[in-house]
Amino acid sequence: MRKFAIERDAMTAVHGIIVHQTNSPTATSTLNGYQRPKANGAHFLIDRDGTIYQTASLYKQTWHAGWLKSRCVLEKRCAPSKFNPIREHKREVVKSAPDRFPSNEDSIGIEIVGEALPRGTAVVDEKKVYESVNDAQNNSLKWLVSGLTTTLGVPLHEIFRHPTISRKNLTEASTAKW
Amino acid sequence: MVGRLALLILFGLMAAQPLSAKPRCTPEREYEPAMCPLVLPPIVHVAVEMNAVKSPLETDPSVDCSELVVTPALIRRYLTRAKQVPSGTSHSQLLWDSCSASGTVLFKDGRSARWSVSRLRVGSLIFDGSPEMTLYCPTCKEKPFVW
Repeated sequence: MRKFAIERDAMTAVHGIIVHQTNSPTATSTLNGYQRPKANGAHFLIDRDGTIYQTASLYKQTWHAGWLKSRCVLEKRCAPSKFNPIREHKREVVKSAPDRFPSNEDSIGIEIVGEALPRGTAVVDEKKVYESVNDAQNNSLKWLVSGLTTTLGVPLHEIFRHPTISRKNLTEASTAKW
Repeated sequence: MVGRLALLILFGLMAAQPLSAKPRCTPEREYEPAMCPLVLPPIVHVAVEMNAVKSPLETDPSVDCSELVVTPALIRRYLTRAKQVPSGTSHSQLLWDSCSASGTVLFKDGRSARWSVSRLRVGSLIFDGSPEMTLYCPTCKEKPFVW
């Protein structure tokens, strides 16, 4: 199944894989969202039962990575500057991989269905916790990552959970295993 | 006289059109979510209950939330300028922050809601019994927000 509304420019090189969770209750709600004009989305979606949907061509970029964190700060190769994620991202995107984290330009995105909970309550976003990735989803993720790394030549150390590379809820994909 | 009255009614209908028309939302962009007008009743009172709160999810001891101190006036301006991010579209473009402030707001129509904001100008508004509204204010360029 391919939803072309999320495909962007051609992707000429793949330097990494980013693992996400959807923050939606079902695969259907995510797939419906992919039909919006200019929608954000990732290349693959793993449903709760482990079903894998390919939602974009691997030859096309999708907008899934978001604002980049500084890789050299996280790897302790440079000193952190004053907190400003927008400036941080602008400094990063002009770098080449692997000096920066994989970006929309050169990474495959894998979404796993799962929500940050509790939903629709007075609990602020900063306290919500993503539900655990289940065994069926992790088995599918392992199979998919194995195939992608072999086919595309992406090293395992260039596979990241979304909050590692971008400022996202720290529990997103924290229980994903590949 | 009848013609003039008909003209007045016609102008009245035209003027009323934007209220009933579909909200003018901006489309998603690579680094910005879709945004729709946030239509709220006039604000009567804003209370700040918690400032500079560090998320329990944050494990980095160097993260310092102490600068996130907001005032009722700032939150009033925030809620006046903020846009609503349609549910399901905010996941990848909005920045998550481990610092937040929160409180309540009372509106002229008698309803109240809980609000929260982060340093990165992302917020939420929750009316009793209604789904959470995600807010973003790209024009709120004043401290303690970071832009």
